[in-house]
Formats: sequence, structure tokens, C-alpha cells
Amino acid sequence: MSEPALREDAAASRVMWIYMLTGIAIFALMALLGLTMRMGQAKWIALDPTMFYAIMTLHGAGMITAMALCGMGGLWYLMNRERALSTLVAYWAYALMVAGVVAVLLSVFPGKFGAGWTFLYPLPFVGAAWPSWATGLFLLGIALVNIGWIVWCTQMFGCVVAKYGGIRGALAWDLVFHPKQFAASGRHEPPPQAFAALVAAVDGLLAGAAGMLVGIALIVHWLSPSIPLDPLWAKNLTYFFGHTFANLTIYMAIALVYVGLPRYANREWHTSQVLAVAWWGTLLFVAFAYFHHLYMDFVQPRPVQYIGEVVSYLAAFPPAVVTVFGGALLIFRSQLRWTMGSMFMFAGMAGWIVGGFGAVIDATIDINSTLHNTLWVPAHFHTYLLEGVVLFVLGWIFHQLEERSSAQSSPLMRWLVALGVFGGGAIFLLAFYVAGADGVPRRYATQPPPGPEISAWASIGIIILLIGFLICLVEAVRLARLRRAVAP
Amino acid sequence: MDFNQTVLVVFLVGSVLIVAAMIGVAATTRGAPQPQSQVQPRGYALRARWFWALGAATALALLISLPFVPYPSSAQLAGAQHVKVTAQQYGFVLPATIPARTPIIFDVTALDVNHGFGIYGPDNRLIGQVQAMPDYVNHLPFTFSKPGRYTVRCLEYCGVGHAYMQGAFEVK
Amino acid sequence: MTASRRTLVIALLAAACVVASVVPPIESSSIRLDVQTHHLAHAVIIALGLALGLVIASGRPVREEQPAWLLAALASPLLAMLLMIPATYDFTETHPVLHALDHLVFAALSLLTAYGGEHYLRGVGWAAAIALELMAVGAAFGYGIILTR
Repeated sequence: MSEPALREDAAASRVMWIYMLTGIAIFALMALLGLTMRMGQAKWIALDPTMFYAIMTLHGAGMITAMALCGMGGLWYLMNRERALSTLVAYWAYALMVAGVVAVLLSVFPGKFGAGWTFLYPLPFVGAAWPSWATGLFLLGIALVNIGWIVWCTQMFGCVVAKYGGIRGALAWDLVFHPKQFAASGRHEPPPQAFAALVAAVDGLLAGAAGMLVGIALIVHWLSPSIPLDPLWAKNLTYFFGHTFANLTIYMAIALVYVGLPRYANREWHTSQVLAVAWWGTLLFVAFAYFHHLYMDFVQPRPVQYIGEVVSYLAAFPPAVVTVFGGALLIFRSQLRWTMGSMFMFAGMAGWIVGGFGAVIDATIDINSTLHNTLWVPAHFHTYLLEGVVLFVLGWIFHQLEERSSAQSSPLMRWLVALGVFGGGAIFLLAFYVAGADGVPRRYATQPPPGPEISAWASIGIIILLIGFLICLVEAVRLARLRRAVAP
Repeated sequence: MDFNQTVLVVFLVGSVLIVAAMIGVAATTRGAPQPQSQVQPRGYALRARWFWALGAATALALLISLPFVPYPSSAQLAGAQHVKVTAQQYGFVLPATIPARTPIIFDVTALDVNHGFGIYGPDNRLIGQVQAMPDYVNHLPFTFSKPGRYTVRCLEYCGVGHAYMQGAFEVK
Repeated sequence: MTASRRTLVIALLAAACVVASVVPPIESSSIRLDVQTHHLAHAVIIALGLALGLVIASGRPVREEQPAWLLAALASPLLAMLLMIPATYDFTETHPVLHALDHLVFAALSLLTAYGGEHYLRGVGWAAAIALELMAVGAAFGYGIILTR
């Protein structure tokens, strides 16, 4: 059974780079804002609360959009090799998301909108320290980001359904339940990255619809404040949208590892029945995991709370048992070439599992009573975003640069970057976890003790981390130049 | 060591083990290589065991943790002393004293936006919380064994004064 | 589905759409629905419009992306949801003709959602239809109403 030829084209490559470089640029800006917040909490700099919360709002909304842009560009590029995709649609999605980012940016600077990325109803409208236009512009910005996301999800959904023979084919249903007939039919199973595309598209569309509903309701309420909204309803929809959107970034980014890591290990990462079933699990669990955001809303129906804990626990299985275990098995006793690309991809899997472990702990209802809305929450998601998604994306970028320049970084360079990114990252993250366990609340411009001392450590960690990323940037530019020199 | 510190230690130990395992796997690439066809069957056998081990651990964790949910039973709601708590940007309205060793139900609501009602003990440790929402009343059961001064902090972002939103009560 | 049966189904669904859109506002103009019921009634009309769009589109499966139709599939549900403003319900209930027209617009936008989706790429119409229906039903549980009051 021969593999179908993969399509490679310059236009698709351009789409990928535009998405990823925009995402990385936003990430860099948002990281600086993050450092500003931690330095403010450490009392190294004076930051008035209005400014702190405006920055916090932008940091949260911006970072998730940045991660999403990277994952979207990467997965789009991979799926385009399976089935030609319209670049026009990809640019629509991109333009909508960038327009949304600009609107959010303007609502924060100069608008000082500061209701958090969560924009929990009715906070954007009540006791606001910012003008009303900033609220409207922020909501419009989030809506534009969401519409861009929906465009992308729709295209991905259409792609996997058309390529693999409907939902059933995209799920690899027959591979799992009728393997003999499947093999005899000569059909190809979807590659691992296609499952990432399917899950991102389906759960992404559900989350997008929830975001659209609450977004429209909020915008209409902004225009006509006499229309009431149910606060619990709005909270459910907001977290369904926000949590799922953020969560999906890692499932998009892992697709890059599915394709990239085997090239370094000179081995193959194929779709198996187990891998397919694991992604079915993810499809289901990601759609219901947001329930754990509402454990402390005791009015939420009781069964929903229990489902939240069970589903959050089960969500750990596909990565822990299949994807990351599979990644470890892929390189076990292989002749893996250690480069920046492979280092980041492999380390990202460790970050994903550690962050996931922190998440599972917090998703225990009883433990959530004393960890909810403490710094433990940013602790776990910074772990799997910063030491997971970001590393997968950097790994892919370096993979591309290394492959096209036929060059790689010196071991010294790799150690320096590792020291900065993993060492600085560990200090930064540890500060979050320790403070969280100490009950220091999140989203406090001024923290009770021992918050400020811990924030100082966090700031030191970020500075080391940023030095690591800066070295990365220098190295990436060097490789990119080599690539241009090599190209005819 | 209180509950949260135990949780932190469990997390840190687990994380170190995860990272160590991954570094261990990475280190095998330095040794004599083996073909994928040879590594895979052994890996899949290990994966099956890992799946069942993780499954058992998860089932156990669920069995242990689910009975300890902080939600009130109808018997608790009927039999306890109710204490009204109202949150509003940026403060709490609640009684100055609360009896010790008495089952209490905090009836928590908010007048404007979402707030959090987080109780910090005399040693400044977070011991419990519930959301304070407009239009809804959340019932938080609690029995205080230790007398002393307890601090209440807002634990849901509620605007520029969020970090200063505090209350206090004395348990006697 | 044979061609004649398809035509029959289309005719029946179209008739159902028009009846569901026009008859309740005209016939029961004296009845005042609460916001939740009114939202759910709209969700029924939307479901009929979506079904009609899917059946009409089922004749010609589209296998290559038609980006222009994607615009229709995404703009229509957005417009439909934007039109479901709870504050207008009191007004429309006292203006039966306008109310019926309002419903016909919902049906048309729903039809366009499903049809446009299927014409963008096969299968997408179903996804867009499910998303719009979920939004329409979801609105009934908190948009314009507070459940505890």
C-alpha cells in the first residue's frame, strides 16, 4: 500500500509562516506584559490597578489568540498537504483574527478596558473604570477573533470530512471496528494530524457557537442595557468558549510534533486503532471539561459538577497513555538527532504532562475549594502553554529552518537556550504553584504576603526565560539567513 | 503540613518523576540504537500496563475525592444556622461574629457583579470558598472548630478594587 | 431519495416553514409569550429552515471549496442570532404582519445557513445547522431572561 504523495507549495508555506510569525510576535509582546504584571506585584515597579487590570486583560486575550494563530497556521499547512485548501479562506480567518486583536488592543490601550479576558457578565458594564466605547470595542474584538476561528474550524471540518469520507471516515471508525475490511478496501487511514484537525474543528465549532451566542448577547446588552442576561448562563457559555478555545491550542500544536518528531528519529508515527480511540476520547472530554471552572458555583446542577471531575480526569488519558507515551516510544533507543527542533518538541511533551497533572489536581472538586482562583490556576495553564504549546511551535519553526538550511545549532547554543527556557521557566512556574498552594489569589494587582516575595522570584524567572527566548531568536535568524543563502 | 502544602508536595514529586522519566527516555538515544519494529511490541505491552495502572489510580482518586464535595445536602441546609453574606464592589456585608463548633450555612450572593467568598483562617490559610453571584444564592456549609479572627477575600475578579475587597469575622 | 420524493419533502418542509412562521403571529396575536417560549418557538422555525436548506442542497454534493458560499453559511446564522433580540418581542407580538415577516426572515436565513454550508463543501451545512440550532435553543436559557426571577 503506497502512501499518497504529499503536496508542498509555496503559497501554503506562506500561509503557515504568516500565521506563526504573527502568533510569535503577539506572544513576545504579551510575555513582556506578563513580566510587567509580575514586577508590579513584586513591587519593583509602580503599576496602578487600572493599568494592571488593563494589561492583564490584554495579556490573557492576546496570549490565547497568539497560541491559536500558531496552531491554526501549522495545522492548516499540514492538512493542506493532505487535501488542497483555499488560501483565500485561510487569509479571511487570519484577517478577522488580526482585526480582532487590533480592536482588543485599542480597547485596552488607550481604552483601559479591564474586565479580564473572561469578560464575565455583568463586569464589563458595572462599576467600570473605563469608558463604554472600550467595552464595545473589546466585545467586538473578541467576536472578530471568534469569527476568524469559526472560519478556520469550518474549513478544517470540510477538509477532513471531504478527504476521509465523512465523519465516520475522519474518525477512522472502520479502522477500529472493521480493521480487516478496512485493510482489504485499500483505503488510507487518516494520519495522526488529521485527528487533531477533526477535534479542533468539531470542538472548536461548538465552542465558537457558545462564544458567538454570549458575544451577541453581551453586545446587544451593551447597546440596550435594559435586556437582562442570566449571570450563570453567561458564565457557562463564556467558560465553554474560553476554556475550550485555550485547551484546543495544545491539541492543534501536537499535530506539529506528530509530523516533526518522526523525521528527527527517522521512525514512523502512524495512526493505529489505539490512537484513533484516544482522539475520540479527546473529542468528547474537551467538550465537557470546562465544567471544572464552575465547581465553586454551587447553584450549578450537581451532576454537572461530578461529570466535570470525571471528564477532567479522563482527559488526561489520551495524552498520558497514547500521545506522549507514543512520543517517548518513538524516540526510545532511536538515533534521534538532537537539535533545537527535536529538543523543543520532546521537552514540550514533558511540559504538557506536568501542566496536565497540575490541572487534574485542581479539577478535583474537594481540592478546588482551596485552589480555585489562587495562583495555582495560572500555574497549570502557564505550564502547558509556555512549556507545551510554545515549545511545540518553536520546535516546528526550528524544524523548518533546520530542514531548509541543512544546518543546525551548536550544542553550546542548545544548552544555553535550554538553561534559559527550561531553567527560567521552572523558576517562573514554581513561583505560581508555591503561591497558589499558599492561597495567594490570582488577578490581584496588590498581593497579600507572601505574594510579593514570590512574585519577585517569578520576575527573575521570566527574565531568565526571556533571555533564553532572545538567544532562540538570534539563532532562528541565523538559520533563516543560511536558508536564504542556500536557496537558489 | 496543611492540605494545600501536601497537594503541592504530591505535585512536585510527580512532576520530578515525569521529567526524570522523559530525560531517561531521551538518554536512550545516546546508547546502541534498536529498530522501531523491535522497540514497538515491548512498548505496547508496557503501554497496556500503564493504561490499567493509570485507570486504577484514577478510579481510586475519584472514589476517594468525590464523597468530599463541599456542596450542602438537604439535611445540612435544613439543620444548620444560616448566615447571610452579600458581596458588592468592593466589600462584604456579613455578621461580625460566628459561633464556633456550630454547623453554619453561608447564604452567599452579590448585588452587582460576580465575586468570590474566600475564607482565610487565623493562620492566613485559605480554607474554603464559594462564588458570590448576582441573582443567585450559593449555600456554603462550614463548621469552624478553631476560634479566632477569619479574613474573607474576594476570589473572583470583580474590577479595579478586587485586590482590596476584604471582610472579616470573629469565630467565638 | 428519488427526485420526486425529494421534491415532495422540499414542498412539505417549505410549507411547514411558512405555516410555522406566519400562522402563530396572525392567529394568536392576543397571546403574549414569555421570552423563553418565544426563543424556543424561533428555534422551531429555525430548525425547519435548516432542514429545508439541507434537503435542497442534498441534490448536488459539492466536493471543491466554494469560498463565496462560506460567507453565506457564516453570515446568515450571525444575522439570525442578531435579529433574535428579546427586547423586540413585545413589540412584534402586537404587530402580527411584522412578526410573521420577522419569522420568515429567520426561516430564510436558516435555509441559507444550511444550503450555503453544503455549497461551500459537503458536510459543512450540517455543522453550521447544528451550531445555529444550538445557539437558538441556548438563547432560551438566559438571553433576555434571568432564570431565578
